[in-house]
Amino acid sequence: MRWSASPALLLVLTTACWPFGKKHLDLDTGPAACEQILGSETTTLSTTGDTARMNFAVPYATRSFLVSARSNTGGTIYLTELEDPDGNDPLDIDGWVSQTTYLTSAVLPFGDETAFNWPVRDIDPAPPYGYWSLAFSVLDSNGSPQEGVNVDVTIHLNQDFNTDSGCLSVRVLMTPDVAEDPELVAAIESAVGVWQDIYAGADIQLQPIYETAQGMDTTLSHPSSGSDAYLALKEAGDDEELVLVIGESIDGTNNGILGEAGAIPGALAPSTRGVVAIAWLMHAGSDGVLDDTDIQGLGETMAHEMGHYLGLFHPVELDGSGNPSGYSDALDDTPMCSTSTGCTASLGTNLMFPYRTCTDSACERQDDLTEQQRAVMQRYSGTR
Amino acid sequence: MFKALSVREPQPACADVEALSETPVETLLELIDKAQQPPWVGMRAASCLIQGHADAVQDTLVDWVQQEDSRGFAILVLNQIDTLPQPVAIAVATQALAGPYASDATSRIAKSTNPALLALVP
Repeated sequence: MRWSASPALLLVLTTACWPFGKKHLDLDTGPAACEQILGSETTTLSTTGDTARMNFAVPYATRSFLVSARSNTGGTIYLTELEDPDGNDPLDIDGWVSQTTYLTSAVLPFGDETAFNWPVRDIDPAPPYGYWSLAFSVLDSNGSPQEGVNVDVTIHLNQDFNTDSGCLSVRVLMTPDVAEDPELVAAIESAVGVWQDIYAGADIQLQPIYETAQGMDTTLSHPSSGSDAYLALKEAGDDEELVLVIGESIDGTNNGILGEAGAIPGALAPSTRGVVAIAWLMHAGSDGVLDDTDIQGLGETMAHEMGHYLGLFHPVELDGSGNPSGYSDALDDTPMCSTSTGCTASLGTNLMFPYRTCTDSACERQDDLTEQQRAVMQRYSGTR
Repeated sequence: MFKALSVREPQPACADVEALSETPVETLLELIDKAQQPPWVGMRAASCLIQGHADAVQDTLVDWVQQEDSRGFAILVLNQIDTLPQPVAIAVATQALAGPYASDATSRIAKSTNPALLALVP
């Protein structure tokens, strides 16, 4: 089954008046929400041969688009083709699959959902208007392509052409036990303040909306594994609102996890992986109390994990000894490094560095972002 | 070992961390005692002791649920109480229910699948 916009729809979409309209949400908590400038379309495809293919219309003056896709058989889905209106592959998918640098996880088979944002970097051109096409493959548990599999696809289009600044709405959801502890809530709100300051450095205004994740257990599951509970959390809000959920821990049998993003980048459409999860207890340390130093670390973890959701990878991947493992992000201005000491020296204060740089008693702030990292965050389609 | 435990992600496996020391229990205890930052170094070290060396550090686990300034460690050990050897679990639960974190202990031990622990809950 193919889906494409009709010429009439394309004509409508290419007018200056965006058909999905604008609205301002009036919220009781905090300042006004981010302006709604996203439009979206959802369709269901079916794999023929070994791919599910679709065309979609990108209107004039579209800054970015984000494709969220889910195979409804549980097969592993990944992006195999992208073609712009001129018939070119602006992403060079085959090139990214074989490289040791990461641009997007969408081209790699990770799970039954995937998300792809374009453009990613400031050197990637804004999408030209016209009909684009893309294709997904779905693999079974043996790694063989599945035929006749339905794939649900939602495409969000962002027409805010200002890529120098942006606004991000995030629903900060606390599990009931957390929400009932006033001191913990106050500490979490302070940590969100740290996160806001870090993102302000990237000219992104973070708009938190505080809620309780009713009925959710304080031992959170892995977002990257997906869960119906996370799907329900995402469905409860607008697509444009990202979700960060805070509980005591992630994975009760494996207590040392600080936080986790569902995907790099994450989906805007409802998704079982559509959240960032944060474990507060690991940040509190032995006394179980979040003091000012702990709050700084917690805020940095929130910013780091949401950075993943917006499309940022670690500038360098390190092994268990802190030495480079040979993989890095695809950005030109995050320094390359070849030793543990060298990586810490050149990247230790970067928000996306995988290690926290500390002595026994004090840590350096990790809140730096390079120009190209900021550009990735600005180009995520949920940044408005 | 400090470096390995200070990683933000992915979480290091205890086996990999402990392989970095010839005396892992002693080194983990030393980290718990001395490493103040980042806070997850001590917490992860404590979790490794709970998961793999509970018999050897039973007294330490009991101390955590009795001391006034160790609620983080206490919650860690209470969350994993069903994984502890029975004598250690009984000792920890008994002291926890009588200690400063009795409320934390009660709610967590009440979720246990171990009848001997459930019987301790008032």
